[in-house]
Amino acid sequence: MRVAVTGSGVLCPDPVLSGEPDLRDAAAEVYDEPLPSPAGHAIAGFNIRARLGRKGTGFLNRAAGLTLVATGRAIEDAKLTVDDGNRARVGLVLGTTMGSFKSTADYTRETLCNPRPYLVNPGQFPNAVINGAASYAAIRYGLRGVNTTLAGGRLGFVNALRYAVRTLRHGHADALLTGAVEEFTPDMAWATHLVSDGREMAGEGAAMFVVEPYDAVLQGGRRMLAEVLAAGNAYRPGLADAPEALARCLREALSRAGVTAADVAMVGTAETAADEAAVREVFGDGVTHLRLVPALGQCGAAAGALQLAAALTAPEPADRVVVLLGWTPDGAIGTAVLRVPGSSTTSGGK
Amino acid sequence: MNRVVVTGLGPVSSIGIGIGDFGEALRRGVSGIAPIASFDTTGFPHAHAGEVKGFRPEEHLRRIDPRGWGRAGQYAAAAARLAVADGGLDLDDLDQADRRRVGTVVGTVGGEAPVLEELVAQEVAAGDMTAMSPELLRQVPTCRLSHAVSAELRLEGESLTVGTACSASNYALGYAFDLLADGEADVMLAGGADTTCRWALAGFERLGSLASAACSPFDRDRQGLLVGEGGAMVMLETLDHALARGARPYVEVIGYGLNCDADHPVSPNADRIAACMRLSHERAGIKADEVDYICAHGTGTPANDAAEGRATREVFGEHPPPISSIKSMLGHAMGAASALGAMACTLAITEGFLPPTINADTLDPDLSGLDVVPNHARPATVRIAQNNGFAFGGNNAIVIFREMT
Repeated sequence: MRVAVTGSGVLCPDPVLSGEPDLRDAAAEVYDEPLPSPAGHAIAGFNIRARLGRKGTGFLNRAAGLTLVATGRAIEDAKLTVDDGNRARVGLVLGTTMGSFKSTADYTRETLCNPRPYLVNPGQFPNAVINGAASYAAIRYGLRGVNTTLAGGRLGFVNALRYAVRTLRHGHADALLTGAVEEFTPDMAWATHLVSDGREMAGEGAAMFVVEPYDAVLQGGRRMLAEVLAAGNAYRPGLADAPEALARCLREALSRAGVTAADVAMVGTAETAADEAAVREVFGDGVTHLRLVPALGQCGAAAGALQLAAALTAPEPADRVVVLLGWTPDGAIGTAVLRVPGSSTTSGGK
Repeated sequence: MNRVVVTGLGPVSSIGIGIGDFGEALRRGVSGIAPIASFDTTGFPHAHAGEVKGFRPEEHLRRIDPRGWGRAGQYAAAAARLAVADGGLDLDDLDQADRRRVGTVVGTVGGEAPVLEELVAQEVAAGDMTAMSPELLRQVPTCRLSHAVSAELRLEGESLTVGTACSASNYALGYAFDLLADGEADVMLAGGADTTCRWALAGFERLGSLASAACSPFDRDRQGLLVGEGGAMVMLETLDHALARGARPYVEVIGYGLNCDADHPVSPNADRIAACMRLSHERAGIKADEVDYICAHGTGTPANDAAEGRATREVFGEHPPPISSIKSMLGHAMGAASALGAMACTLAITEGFLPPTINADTLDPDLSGLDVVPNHARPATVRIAQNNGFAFGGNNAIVIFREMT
């Protein structure tokens, strides 16, 4: 079964990617607590209730807020109708690192600091569990189909895409809101800073895509943003400093997708030296790098999703193949290959 | 599509480590509940749990160094080792398995909660987030649970961690099933892991969901759940691969169903649960009256058991099959719970007995008609077993097992 992307919804500190010209990136303003310097990248003045209304939004944490906005945008962008006729077949697959490090840590902190350790806020309990954002999105948009949260770290989006493709192929759903989210918080800002010895900064964002069976989209005469050619996941320890291993994984991905290196126009990676070397080895110098880190920082699971969003918004080249690569220090590696059609066509693929 | 079978079982649980001890404990209706020992429970009104006793990582782990991994990852890796050993799979023998086609999916609620707690303790002690240890920060990402299994067994296939809360290991089993059916893998270690932790105990306490010292699912006077922990990994394999290496499958996985309440963040929805049951039957190609045993989600909370009981009667009619809750013995092992249920289903089928719901005193009159196998296991012929998993966030997942034909 071929699988298509039919809609995209993004919210991150970049005004162009988010489609909001007035958006400001001002991480230092977002929290009162001390942050590393530079702080990172975060949406200034992100007000969940202002964006989503007061009903059912009182307890949402930042990750849930980002996810809900991006999900709503993707549904609208895809012109996907979700109603009682189909909501049991429309679901959501969300990649993340830890759900919300802050929410879980806040809960833990209260049990350590409160005179009575159980005096935590019950309304915040869902936020402390990894599937909180996905469940809030399902509630808000009435998505009763498959609802899965995947903890993939830097692989979060590729994992979500792979899971979505497999889930559609097995007929568990007819449409899946598929994406990833990472929120900017003091906890993540400091974690990113400390683990990288001050070299890296945390970012945030959510990007969600409507993913559906290709044939159904074609038959419905609906617009297709991309076709997913392949999405894979493997475990190959020792990747961190090994461009050769990364290059091998890239080649395997191309082979699975049935494309050659020459077909590929854009590549999104973790943007480390090893990544850049692997990309150069496999694709040479002619490929466009979907570089997010300079402008958006380390976006964890959301990075791959934001890279795809960037690839989709690029005006050219027409009929471009996009490759996404993500990996974790332990050695999990994920790749996705998509074809983005020319703007004049409603379907992709050769 | 390949047929998918269970060939190995690896429980690290509060009632036993290893399938021999676990199975024996299920038969005897052993309770794994005791006062919480793994952290200071001063100030917690309810502090009993189903904790794993006597777990020594060095007894189970041959490759990964426990000092580099959190306890949840250690549980997952140890459980995976047990499952592989139980299934007699020699991963070093290329004739038996191609590592690139052996993967793992691990479900969890809290991930590396003990590591997170240590990080927060560091920050609280110093009053400063810069006090968080970079080494612990490297150990805390939730994806490390599946990486612990992949690293311990040197697997090169898929390594995925699923965070769908209390039903996560059923999601893991389901996804592994799909990969194997498709031929994307030959063997999958699927299950879940969690540890007891302060924030979950506090959260459930605050919701009023906790029982004091005994968990009595489906009972009229049930108070709530007891938190638990453990690692539970099931080795799933394509039937062809199992037969080719001379393995004897336990049971077959014939299908699974997933849906989402999309209703309330914590309260379960009986209608959606019923829909998930029907979905799982449809996907498994069976009718409701073919189910011989249901391993309940059965947390023992008033809300869950009422919803699950109502859904069961709606789907199965006036005389549902026996439905018991092993959480009565284990407590709620969170991410490992559904996989432990899968093991109970497997043994129910292969050994012909129904695990009991212990601490059963008076059946809830609203659930009359349910045979909860009160207090004592009993012999039964079980051909098809249904394994329920429900969760906060309305993450429902049900897996269906059938005897080998």
